[in-house]
Amino acid sequence: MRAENMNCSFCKDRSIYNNETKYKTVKYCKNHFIKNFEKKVDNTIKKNSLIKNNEKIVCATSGGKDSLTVLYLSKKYIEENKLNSSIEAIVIDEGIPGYRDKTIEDVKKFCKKYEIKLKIASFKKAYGKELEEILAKRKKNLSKLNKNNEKNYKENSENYNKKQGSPCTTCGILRRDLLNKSCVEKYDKMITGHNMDDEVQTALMNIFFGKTDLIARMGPVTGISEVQGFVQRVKPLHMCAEKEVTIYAFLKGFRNEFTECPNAKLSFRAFIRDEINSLGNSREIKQNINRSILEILPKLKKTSKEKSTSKQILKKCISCSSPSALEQCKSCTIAEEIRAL
Amino acid sequence: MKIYIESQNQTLEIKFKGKASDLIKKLNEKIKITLESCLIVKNNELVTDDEQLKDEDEIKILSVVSGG
Repeated sequence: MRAENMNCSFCKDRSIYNNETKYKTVKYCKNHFIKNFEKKVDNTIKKNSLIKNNEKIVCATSGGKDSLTVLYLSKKYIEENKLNSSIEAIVIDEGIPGYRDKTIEDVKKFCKKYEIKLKIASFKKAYGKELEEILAKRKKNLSKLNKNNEKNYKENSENYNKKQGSPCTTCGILRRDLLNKSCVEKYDKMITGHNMDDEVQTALMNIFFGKTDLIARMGPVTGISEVQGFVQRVKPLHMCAEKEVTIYAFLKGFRNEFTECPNAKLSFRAFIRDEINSLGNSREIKQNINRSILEILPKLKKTSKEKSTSKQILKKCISCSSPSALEQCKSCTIAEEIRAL
Repeated sequence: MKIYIESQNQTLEIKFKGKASDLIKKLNEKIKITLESCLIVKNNELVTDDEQLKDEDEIKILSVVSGG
């Protein structure tokens, strides 16, 4: 017989998840976990008005547990609240062999099952090259720089690495750009699957790099204000721990075979994630960091908004006319760089 | 005990009896794994960190972190 302390806090069923904090432990069976998780996401959507009536919504999907979960729950929210809003999905094909081809199949199957229209946008079509080729071209550019100026090899190498970063930096810039350009004209809002762990990692990375302006853009509704040329991004899972999203996806059968991007381990984000998760009470620490950010966010957004209004920080990219902090947006700079090689 | 580690796509066979959380601690000596970064599945059922495991149980350690 199972010991009593292994049971759900709300019924007699076996507990599958214990949410432990300093003050109490709440235990959930399968049904109560699903109910509680869905309620948490519903409350996040309602509290922050993430989905409103008569909106055309797109969900940025990767085939992973976060994006499939948020796509499913957003559709459910629209249907249960009888909203006259629509939801479609988009997936970006960077052309990462052995990874993206598999996850695209997962997204296709999911969208077919839940009758969701899916759009696929590819790096190849948008930038003329797939990610591996883009990364190789940029690496070649580094060698070219060094060859032309061997005396300053070290300086060049360091500057270029700073500029180029890990593969995820290049990929992230191009992905965000392509997502925006594919959706800004057609949709009112973009839903992303960012969870609490993602938010905490982003905040810490921005602190590490001293980019407080970027922290101001965080939260359930991204950005400091609505900007013409950017599709508004919202994050219904931002209060859910990554482990909770994984459990939900597991219980609902959304979790596909584990496939890992070959570049993911090289990212600074992966380092931050592993360091936080190795802390003994990492869940509580993540909840505290997330809560702290949410508390200071209104002030940060206000200050950042005043700063951007007074200094006219956002310009129009000289190449694509998208809003940009620089003369030319980062994605156009990369696109120009790879075209020139 | 047979343990399938999803993130490594490998199966280990070790002698173990005790709490699931202690198994993760033991595995962490060999591979980078924490309670926050995995789900523990015993005989195809999701279990909590304080579940008692027997040597004959079949265990799967599923990855929490995203693949990309």
